Order: sequence, then C-alpha cells, then structure tokens
Amino acid sequence: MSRRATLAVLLAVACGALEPAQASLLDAGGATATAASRSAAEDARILQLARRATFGATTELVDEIRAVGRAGWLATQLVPQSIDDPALTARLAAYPALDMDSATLLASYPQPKNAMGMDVIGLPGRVLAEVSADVVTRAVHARAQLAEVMTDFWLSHFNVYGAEGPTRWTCVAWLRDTIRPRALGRFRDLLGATASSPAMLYYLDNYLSTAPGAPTRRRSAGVNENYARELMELHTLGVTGGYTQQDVEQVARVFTGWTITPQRSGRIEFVYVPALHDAGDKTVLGRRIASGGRAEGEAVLDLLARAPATAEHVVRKLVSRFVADVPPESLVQRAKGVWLASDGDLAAVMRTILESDELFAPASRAAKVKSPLELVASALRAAGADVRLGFGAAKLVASLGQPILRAEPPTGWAETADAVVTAGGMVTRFDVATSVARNRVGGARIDTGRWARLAGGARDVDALAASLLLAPPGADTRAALVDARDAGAAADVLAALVLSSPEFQQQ
Amino acid sequence: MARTTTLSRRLVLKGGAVAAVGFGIGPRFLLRTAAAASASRRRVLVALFQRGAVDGLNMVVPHGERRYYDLRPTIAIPQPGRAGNGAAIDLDGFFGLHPAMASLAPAFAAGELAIVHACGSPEPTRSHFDAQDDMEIGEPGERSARDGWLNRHLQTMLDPHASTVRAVALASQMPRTLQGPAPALATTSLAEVAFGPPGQGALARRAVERMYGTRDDVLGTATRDALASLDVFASLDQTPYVPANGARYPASDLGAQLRDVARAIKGDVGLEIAFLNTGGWDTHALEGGAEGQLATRLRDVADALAAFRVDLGEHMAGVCVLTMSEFGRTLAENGSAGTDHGRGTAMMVLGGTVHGGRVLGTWPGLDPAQLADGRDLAVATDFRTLFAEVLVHHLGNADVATVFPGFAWQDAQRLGVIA
Repeated sequence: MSRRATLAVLLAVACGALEPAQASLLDAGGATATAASRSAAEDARILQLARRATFGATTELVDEIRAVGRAGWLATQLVPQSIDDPALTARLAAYPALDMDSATLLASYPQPKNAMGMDVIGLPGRVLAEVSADVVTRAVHARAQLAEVMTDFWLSHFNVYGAEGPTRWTCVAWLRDTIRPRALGRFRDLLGATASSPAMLYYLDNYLSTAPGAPTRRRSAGVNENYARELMELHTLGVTGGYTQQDVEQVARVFTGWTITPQRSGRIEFVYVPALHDAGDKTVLGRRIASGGRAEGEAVLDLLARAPATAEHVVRKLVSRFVADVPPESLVQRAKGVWLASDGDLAAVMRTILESDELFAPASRAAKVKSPLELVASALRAAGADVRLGFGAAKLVASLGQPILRAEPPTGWAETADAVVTAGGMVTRFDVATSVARNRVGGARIDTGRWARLAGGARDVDALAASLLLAPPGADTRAALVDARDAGAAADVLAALVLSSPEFQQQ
Repeated sequence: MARTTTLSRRLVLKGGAVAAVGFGIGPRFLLRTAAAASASRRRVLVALFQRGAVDGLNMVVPHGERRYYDLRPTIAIPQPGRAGNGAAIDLDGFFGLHPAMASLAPAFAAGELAIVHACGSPEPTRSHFDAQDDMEIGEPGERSARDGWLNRHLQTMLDPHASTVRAVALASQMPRTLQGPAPALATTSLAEVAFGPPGQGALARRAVERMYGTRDDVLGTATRDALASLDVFASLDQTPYVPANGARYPASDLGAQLRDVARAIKGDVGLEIAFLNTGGWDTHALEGGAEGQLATRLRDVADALAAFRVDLGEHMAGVCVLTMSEFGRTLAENGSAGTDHGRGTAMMVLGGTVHGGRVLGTWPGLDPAQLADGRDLAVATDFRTLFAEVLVHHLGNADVATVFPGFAWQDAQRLGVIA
C-alpha cells in the first residue's frame, strides 16, 4: 500500500467515512492488500462523483473528497450557503452589474438614446456579458461546485433568452435572486420564483396576457397561452404528462395579470395587476380553482409542483444530466420516490442520485460528453487557470455553440451527446484545447510552464495525461501522445492534445 | 444519428492532384469526390436567414403607396428621382430597392433577381422564436416538430455518394432548418483549415486521427466528418482565394462566408445546401432611412450577394440564393423612429434559374382595411409557396408533401419565380 493510499484510508477513518469493519482491516496483518483494493474502488467512485457533481475533476478536488469522504463532501455541497468562499467573492467584484437592482442597472447600462451622462458603465449588452462571465468564473473557481452545476441545469430547464428586451437587465436578478439560491432547495419554491420573475414573464409573453377586453395601454388585450403551455410541457408535467389543450387555456386564464412593472416606472419588477386578471373559476387537471386573484396561480403551481408526472419528468432529466444520457430506469423511479416523499426536496433527490449504485456502475463511466460550458470550465480547471475576467472564457463557450443565457427555444441548451457534438464543433473543441494549453484565453492566466513540469520536460506523456485526465488514457490516445512526443511536440502541444482527447471530452 | 463514415485519410496536394497517403481504408473519399464532380450539374441552394425580422417595406419600397409616406414621416425612403442617391431605385414603377442596395440593381435588370413581397407565415405570431421555428421547420404552428425542412429535403433525396459537405450551415450551431437525421455540417468558416497550434498542424492532425479514428461513438463519427470536411476544403487550393471577375466582397462575416461558399461551389466539392445567418434586423428604434442602422445592414447583404453573383459568373447558372425573415415590421414608424413586429415582408430570390426582374406575389395594399390587424402589411403569399417552388423547380425535389407537411401545394398556382 502506497504511503498516499494509507494516508487516505487513515483520513477516511478519522472522518468517519469508513465503516468500523473496513477500518479494522487495517489492524489485521495481510489485510492491507484488501484495503488497498477497496481503496482503489473508492478512488474510482470519488473520481466519478467529482466528474459529475462539479465542472471538472482536478487532483486537488479528488484529494479534498478523499480527505473528508464522499458522504461528507456531498453533505457540504448540498448546503451551498454553508460554504464560505471569500476568494470567489473577490473575483466577482470584477462584475459590477451583479450587485445592482433593476433601477440601478437601467441607469448604469442605459439604452444609447437614454444615456444622459450619469454613471454609465456600458451598453445594455454589457450586463449579459458580465452575467456570462460570472457563470464561467464560478464554474471554474467556486467551491460550491454542485450548486453551480445545478444552476446550469435549471438555466436550461427554465430557459429564458437574455439578450432581448428587458431581460438584458433582468438576467442579473434571474441568476442571482431566482435560480441560484434555490438550485438545491424545494422545487415548488424554484417554480414559484420563476413564475413571478420578470425574465420568465417576458420570455414566455405572460406579461402581455390579460383578460379579454381588459383595460391595457396596448392596442390589443387578451389571453396569451405561451407561458401556460411551457409551464406544463417543459417546466413541470412534461409533454406526455396528461394535460390537455383545455388545461392550457385554463392555466393561461389563471396567470392573466401576472406582469411586469411599466417602462415608465424606471424599474423592471414583477407586479400582479388585478384589473388585468380574468376572474371566475377555472378547472385545471380536473381540479376546480376557485376565483381568487393571484392565489389562483399559487394554487396551480402547488398542483403542478406536486404532480407525480412532474417528479418523473424532472427527475428523469436530472438522472440524464448526472448519470447517463439514457437514464437508468431503476434510479429514475427511486429518485422519483424520494421527490414525492420529500415534497420535491432537491437536495434529497440529488443525494439519492449522487450516491446511487447506478452512478458508479461501469455503464455510467464516461457515459456523458461534456457540454460547451463543461468543456471550457473543466479545461481551465485542469490547467489551473486563474480566471480574472471571464469574458474570454464565456466567448469560448459561445464559440462551441451554447452561449450562456442565449438559447432561443424554450427548451434551453440540450446537453446529451447527440445534441452537443457536431463535426464543426469538434474542430472548435480542439481550438479551445489549444487556446487553454497555450494561455490564449482572454482574461485568464495559465502557467504554461506547468506542462513541462508535469511531463518531465515533454518526455513523460503518461504523467501529463494522468494529471489532466486523472486516469490512464486509452490505448489510442496514449499511442497518439507517444507518437507526437517522438515527433518532437513541445509540452504545451502535448497538453493541447490531452485536452483534445476523447477521454477529456467525456466526464 | 445512424450513419457510417470511413476513416478519413490525410490528403495532400501534389502538383495539383489530390493524393491519399497513410491511413488506408479504401479510397472511398476519393470516390465520393469523384461522384460529386460527376454530378456537378447538381443544383445549389444558398439560404440566407435575416434573423430579427427585416423591415421589408424599407428594403423593397412600395413607393407608389401614399400611405407608406404618410405613416413613416422620418424613415420613409424617398420616391425615385426625388433625392438623388438617397431615393429608392425604381424596379417597376411601383416598387423600388433601398438605395443602399444599389449593387443588386444590375442583377434585377438582368432578370436574375426576383422579389416576392408581402410574403410570410400564416401563423400570426409576432414572437421571433416561434416565427423563426415556423419558417425553419416549415410547418407553421406545429410546435412538436423538430426536423427542419431543409433536413427533410435531404432525407427525401438520399444519395449514397453525397459529399461530406453536401449541406453546410455557416454557423456555430446547427440551425433548426438543417436539424434532423440527414447529415449536415455546422461550421463558422469553410476556409478554416488551420488545425492545431501554429506550425504543429500536421502533427496535431495525425494525433487527432489516431485518438478518434476507430471510435464508434458520436465523438468518433463527428471528428471523422470534421477531418474529411477539412480535407475537402484543404483540397481546393492552398493559396489565398482570389474572387473572379473583379468581384469585391464586403469586409463582413457575411461577405467572408459567401466568398467561402463561392469557392466551394467553384471547387465542386459536392455542396448542395448552404445556410447563412445575418442579424441586426430588429430595428425597434432609430432604424434610419436612406442612411442609418437598417441601411448599413442592407448594404452589407446587397454588396455581399452582388459580389457572390459576379464572382460565380457562369457557375451561377445552377445556383439559387433565397433570403428569408421570420416576419415584417409595422407599417407605421413608432415613437422611437423605428418599427415594431409586423407580418408580411419581402424575400429575394437570386440566381441563374430565377425568372427575375419582377416583383412577384399579390400586393395586399396599405389601406387600413387591407392591413393585418389594422396595422401591418398582410401576408398575401405563404412562405411555403415560395419555398416549395424553389424545392420543386430549382432543387428538383417533387416531394412537397414530406418537406412541407400539411401544405396544399399546387404547381399551377406557383409564383413563377424559377424559370
């Protein structure tokens, strides 16, 4: 047993991560070999957990998990507000928009025609650029990694388009106030926050939806079904979740009057306007929703959030994201049970998924291809990058076809392999690898000297590959690296090749 | 995506000839190129999407309509002859081109440019996303559909000898219209043959071939497609491309992309469908008139298309460019000297197969009763009427029922935009 492995077991015992029976193996002479193999199996699980629950496994991260044990590490990650991260806070100070309310944002990033010499920071487009840089910076550097991965999941599940209309400013609150604080909370809270967020109200047109003939300043008034349909099709029940066109029409009536403060108010906030609401009883999914103003919407959200079809729909997507593109049905059903028993407690559901045998099964290893954000963030993490400004890294994500908060269809960015891999995209992935390996990412600092140190001056491709992949490369990749080394490739070129390898595209 | 691709081989240019070296599974790639060459009379469609809803009324100006001038006090384009270079370029005594599009006037005069006005979708949505989806899927209002109409076209015209670069989107992600089971390539540039770190391209290329060459997953397939595509374009020439006939492309993304497309067409690589995006058309504020925001965007499109036509010369005989935009804009200018989301717009058809020099389609008129919802140019021509005619008469695909499901196509009622 190596000194390092022994240390790991000792630490695990100290932290209570090993059962006493396992710990006693250390006492028995000749049992250290068994302990070592158990430790190897546990190391494989730690690596798999690190790859799926974060934006990229690194040596440091794996050591951290090994030190506290998987259960302990996960317990902390599931309560992100408990994780103190002053270094991250310092990095995020580079993005002033993140701390502003909507009125300050409108004044600081005004339309060009409204620029009147106040403390203007930039054009409206700059706000989304800062938000995108924030997302990438956190993906690379945040200690609360699982919360960031979950935030990314919800950004696609509850998609909005951040580069149009008032969302150019409300994209700040969308991430900061609506999604991120609830990413591991209760689904009902998250659903309710999205329903009353200016970003969603605008994106799915509900801000326009009024009772027919309601007194509005616009030329036309009437019900808009866009939000009602996507609420059931995408956010909750799923397209096969058992709702009808009649339900869509009824739910649309329920949410009339849920709108955004008028432009002249100088701010962009949610407001419920009773005069625009279509009064009268509604029937949704066979349940009578008594006429009750805004409370009708809350009642419908209760109904949808607690429906078994919603649990199944969302859990299936989570398992697909975290375990395998084709989600193991056994785990879907188990996690669905946890969802229903816990009233949609996302932390409990995620614990079930991330501790499941299905996650660690051989079939789930390398069963996911990294999305553009995952690829860029993981390459920067593997390279030990110091992301001082995330704009360049966010541009790399966009170059791979998934610019942050700029998915136009309400389905958001897909993340299964068949959707994220295109021929042209593979060449861009290799370009990203080269940019990272050669310290050519705007706003990020990468110590290119580390490649030669890791590879012992460009000779030891195994050491270099192991440090970036945290596992031995496959035979073809290793042969390609040896061939490149023998052809005289410099250490940074070898690093670019490792980051271009199929092993690095997977997680 | 079920398809097989042989391991790509590294191609090098030797005295102008393409030779396969190294990795040797049969010369299927060369056969493919040969097949593409033998089918060089194959038609090419270049689809250009003006995302954001172009103001068709200022792009192709109904200068014979008094209400156009009444309702656009600051952004209307003056009638022909009124203000020198700032006036509309007359097309037929009623319509005129925006003056920033002067470079396309020769194509109209030569009968190679047709315009279909008051064209759009039967779905009255004014959502960019829904309307773009409708136009790309080709099934307005059908939200559960996922394949695009150009992909369905490729599916109905399956060709085992088709080139790797049969359908290319010059974009960082596959546009909806090319999404579906038929292979298509999305890439931001066809000229981007540089690979790997400077000076280490060949080495990096060899390594990638080794790492991905035998994988049977989507990563392996996509990488082999990418390498084969790079080979196709690398085989064109290794010197900077010089447009023919003195054509000058504008120094814009669109100019560079159309130049790449022209190069690929002349190089006979088997390109059948090229899809391009242009943006900046959502002119809600400070749209401008003869000069300004919209004029700048229109000048880019016109100059790029005009250069493309001149550059291609006789190759233009088998090429058709089709422009499209999800909807038009309000007849009246709004309170911020711009226009809001409307309904009908104008689409352009340019090429050797076009029976042009005409503005086609029924003109619904601009009187209040003639407008959609009392405010917008109505849709008099379903976009599928135009697209289906290009499909049948330019691309030679008669299977309209598959490509545009639910659309009642009648050849006798076609616009006559394709000769």
